[in-house]
Amino acid sequence: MFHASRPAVRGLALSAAAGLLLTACGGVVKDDKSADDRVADIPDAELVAPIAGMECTEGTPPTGEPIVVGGSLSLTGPLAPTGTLHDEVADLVVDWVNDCGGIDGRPLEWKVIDDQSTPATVTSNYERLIGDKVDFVMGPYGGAATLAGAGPVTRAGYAYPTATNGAPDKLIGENHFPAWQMGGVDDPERMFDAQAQTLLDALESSGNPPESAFFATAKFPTTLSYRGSVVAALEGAGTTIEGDVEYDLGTTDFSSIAIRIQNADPDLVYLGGIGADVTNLYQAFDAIGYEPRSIYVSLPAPAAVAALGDKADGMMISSIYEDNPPLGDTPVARYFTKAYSEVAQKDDLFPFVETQAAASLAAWQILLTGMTEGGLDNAAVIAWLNAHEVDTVVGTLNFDGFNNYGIDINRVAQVQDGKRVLVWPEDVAGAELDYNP
Amino acid sequence: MSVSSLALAQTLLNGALLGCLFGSIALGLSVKWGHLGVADFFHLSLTLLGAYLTYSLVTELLWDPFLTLAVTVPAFFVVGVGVQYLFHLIDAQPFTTLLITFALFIVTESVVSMIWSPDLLNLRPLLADGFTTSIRLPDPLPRLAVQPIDLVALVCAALMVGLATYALRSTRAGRAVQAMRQDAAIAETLGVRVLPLTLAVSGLAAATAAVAGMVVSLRMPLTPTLPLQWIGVVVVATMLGGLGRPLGALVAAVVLMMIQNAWSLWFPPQWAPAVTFGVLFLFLALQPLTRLARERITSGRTA
Amino acid sequence: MSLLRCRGVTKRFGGVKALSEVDLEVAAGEIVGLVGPNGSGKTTLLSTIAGSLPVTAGTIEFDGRDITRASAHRRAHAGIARTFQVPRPLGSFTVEENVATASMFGRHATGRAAALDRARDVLKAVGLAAHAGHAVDSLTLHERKFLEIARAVALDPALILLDEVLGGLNPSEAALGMELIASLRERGMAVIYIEHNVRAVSTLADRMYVLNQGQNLADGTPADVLNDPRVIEAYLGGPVDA
Repeated sequence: MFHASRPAVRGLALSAAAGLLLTACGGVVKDDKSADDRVADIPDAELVAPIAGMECTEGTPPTGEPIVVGGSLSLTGPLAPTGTLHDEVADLVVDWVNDCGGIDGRPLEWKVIDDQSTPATVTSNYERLIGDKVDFVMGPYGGAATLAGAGPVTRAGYAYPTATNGAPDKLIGENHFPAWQMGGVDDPERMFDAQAQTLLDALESSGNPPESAFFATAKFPTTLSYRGSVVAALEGAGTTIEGDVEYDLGTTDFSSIAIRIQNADPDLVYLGGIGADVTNLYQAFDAIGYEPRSIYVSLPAPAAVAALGDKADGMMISSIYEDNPPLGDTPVARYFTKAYSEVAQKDDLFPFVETQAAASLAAWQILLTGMTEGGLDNAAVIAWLNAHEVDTVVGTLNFDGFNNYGIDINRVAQVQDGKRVLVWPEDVAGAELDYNP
Repeated sequence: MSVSSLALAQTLLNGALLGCLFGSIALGLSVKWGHLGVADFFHLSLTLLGAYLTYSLVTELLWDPFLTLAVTVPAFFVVGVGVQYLFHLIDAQPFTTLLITFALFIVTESVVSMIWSPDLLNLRPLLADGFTTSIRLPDPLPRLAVQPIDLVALVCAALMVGLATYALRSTRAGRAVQAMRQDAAIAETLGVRVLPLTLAVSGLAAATAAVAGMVVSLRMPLTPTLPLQWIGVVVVATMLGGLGRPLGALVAAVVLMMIQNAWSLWFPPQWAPAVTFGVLFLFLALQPLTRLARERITSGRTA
Repeated sequence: MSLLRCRGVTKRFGGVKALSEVDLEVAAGEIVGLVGPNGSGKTTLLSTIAGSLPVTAGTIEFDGRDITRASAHRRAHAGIARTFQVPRPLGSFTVEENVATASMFGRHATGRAAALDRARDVLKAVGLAAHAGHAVDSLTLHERKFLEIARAVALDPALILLDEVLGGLNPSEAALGMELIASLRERGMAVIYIEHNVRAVSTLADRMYVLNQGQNLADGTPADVLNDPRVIEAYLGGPVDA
C-alpha cells in the first residue's frame, strides 16, 4: 500500500499545485537572442604570433623534444569556475604557439594537475611538476594558491608567472611575474590604493560622484583589502559611508543585506563580492522589489553579470580588460577573442574575454616573451624579464615595483546596452562612464 | 542601526520562505537518518543534481519546470532504491553508509562540474516575469514583497512535509516504518517486510530531492559547490527537528533562517551561519535542563 | 501430517557448530517442550525456525512447504511467531500498539483500527487489558513477558515459539504463565516451548526434545524422556525430580 499510494498521492498533489501555479505564472520564456548569437557575431581573425618578437610560420608543425610548461589549477572545488577558464586559455595558447611553428621549432606542451581548490595540494603539485623536470611553470589561480605554490617554485629557481594573484602584498620574489598588476608602488601597505583611486576618479569623471555609499564585502583577502582602500578614498572625497558589512564567502542568502541596503538607499552600492554573489544579491533585491541607484562590483563571475540581463545595465565592475578598443583592437587580441570564444563555448564557459581570460593570456605572453627573448632557461628568463618591459594584451607591463608589480592596470568597466566596456581610465576607455545615481 | 518594523517583517518573511526550501531538503535527510539510520549527505548532492537536471530540461528541451518532475521524481526514486539496495547487499553499518554517502557527495560535485561546467548557471533569465517579479501582499496586510518562486517553495515544502508526516504518523506503512526504526529484527518477526520498506522509504526520500532540486533551480544560480552552503542549515535543522520528524525539520529550518536573517539585519552578516550552530549548541546544552523540568512536572502530577 | 519438520538442521558460527543435524517435528495443536543444558543450542534452533538466523545445512518444512530460505517476515505470514528470552518491546509504542503491530502486519494483515481492536482482545486474554494504553516502560518483568506472548498471539500463528517465557517469574506469575500456554493449545496453536523449569515443561508438553551440545539427545513423551538414562546422565547429571 505504502509503495503505491504515497508517491501517487504526492504526484497528484504536485501536478495540481503545478497547474495552479502555472496558470498564475505562465511558465518559461526562452529568450534566445543572448550569448550564442553574440559569439557567432565575433569576426574571424587571422592567425598571428601571440607575442611581439615571435614569427608565426603557419603550416610547419614543430618537431623534436617538447617544451613542457607545468601548472596546478583548481579544476574542481569552489575555485573551479575560474580555474577551468585558465586551463582553457593554457590549452589555447599551446595550440596557438604550435600552430605558429612552436618555439625554436619545438612544440610547446601544457601539463596541468588539479589542486581541488586546496592550497596544500598546490604545493605538492608544483613539487611533483618540478620533480618531473618540467621546463617551465605557470602560476595557479587565486592568491592563496599562488602563495602555496611560490615555495617550491622559487626554491627550484623557476620563473613564476601568475595571471591573477589576489595577494599582491605577500612578497614572493624576483622570479614572480604578475600579469594582473596592481600597486606599482614600493609600499606593500598601499597596493590597493591606486585601484581605489581609479574608481574614485572614474566616479568623479561623471560629474555626479556618490554622496553616500553602502559596502557589502565577502570575507576574502583580496576583496577585504580592496574594500579598505575604497572606503578610505571615498571618505576622503566626502562620501558618507551608510553601512559596511562583511559576509561569509559563498553566502547565497542576501535578503537581510538587501534590506539593509534598501533602508539606507545609498547613491552607490559597493559589492566586494566574488563569483555569484552579485546574482544572489540581485535576487534578494528582486524579492523586496528594490533597485539600487548604482552598483559597483569587484570580481564578479562574468557569467553571473551576463545572467542578470537588463538588470545589469549601468553596473560598474572592476576590470583590467574588456573587448573594446584600444586594447581589444590589436591583431593578437582579435585572434584571442575569436579562438577563446570557440573553446569556451564548447565547454560551457563564459565565451567572452574579460579580466580573467585576458590576465591568463598576459601571463603566458610574459612567459613566452621571456623564453623567446631570454632563452629556454629559467635563470635567463628571470633575468631578462626583470630588466625589460613586456607587451601584453592588458597593456605594457614591467616588473620594477614591490613584489615585481611595476604598474597598476586596474580599470573600471561598465555594462552598457548589455555589453561590458572599459570606461576608465581614459587611455583604455571604449566609452564614457554613464553615471547619475 | 535602527530598522523599521516593516523591514524586520520583510526579512523574517524572506527567512521563513527560504527556510521552506531548506526544510524540503532536510525532509529526505531527516527521514533517512531517523528511520533508516543513514546520515545521507548524498541527499544534498541529489538535490543539486535535481536542480541541474531541471536546468537542462528547461533550457535544452524547453520543458516547463514543473513538468520536469515527471522525469526527475521517478528517476530519483530509482536512485534512492538503488543506493539503499547497495547498503543492503554489503550489509553496511551506519559508519560505512556515512562514508559511502560522503564519498558520493564529493564525487557528485566533480561529476556535476564535468557535465555542466563549474561555471555559474542561472535559470532566472529564462523564466517568465510571473515567476520572478515580486508581488506585494494585498491591503490590509503589511506591504511586504513575496517572490512567486518562494511561494512555490512554500507549497512544495508544505505538501511534501505534510504528506510525509501524515504517512509516518497515520498510515499502516508509517507504523511499519516506526516499528522498523525501533527494532528491525522484531519488526520482521512481526511480519513487517523490512527490505522492501527500507527501499521504498529511501526511494521516496530521494524523490523529494527531485522536487527540492527543481525549487533550487528556480530560486538560485547553480554552482557545483552549492551543497556545501546548505549543509550547515540542513543538518542542524534535521537534528533540531528530531531525526525522522520532517515537520520538526521544516519548523527548525524556518526558525533558523528567520533567526539568521534577523541577526544579519542588526549584526555582522558574516556571523549568520555561526548563529545556526549557536542555536544547535544552545539546544543541546539546554536539553538536559528541559528533560529535568519535564520529569519534575510529570512526577509532580502523578504524585 | 507434521506442521513443522526440521531435518538435519545444522548451524555454524565461524568454526563453532551450534547445531549439528538436529531433527524435530511438531504436529498441529501440539505442545513440544525443548530442553537442554545452557549452550545446547535451544535458542539457536528457535531462531532458525523463526527465520532470524539462516541455517548452514538441513531443511525446514512448515505446513508442507519448504521454508528453509524464507525470510523472517514470510515465516510470520506463513504462521510462525516467536518470543524472545529477554523481552524486546518496541519502546516508543504503547502496549496495545506493540500488539497491534503484529496483527497489522501478521498472517491476516488488517487495517490500523481493526488491529487495535484485536490487540485489545489479545491483551484481555493475557491479562494486560489494564495496561493497553500505557508505555511499555511502565510494565514489570512478568508483564513484559506476557506482552511478548500477546504480540506473538496477535500474529494469529499456527505455531508459536516460546523462549523461556517463565524465566525469572515468581511461582504465582509462573502459574499464570502456564495457564496462558495451555490456553494457546486450546486456541489451536502448536507450541515449541523452551524452559529451564523442567517440571513446568513436563506438565504442559505433549512431547519433549532434549538437545545436548547442539545434537538431538532424546525425544518422546515427558515420562519417557525424563527416565531416559542418557538424559539423566548427560543433561541432568542425576535422577530427575519430576
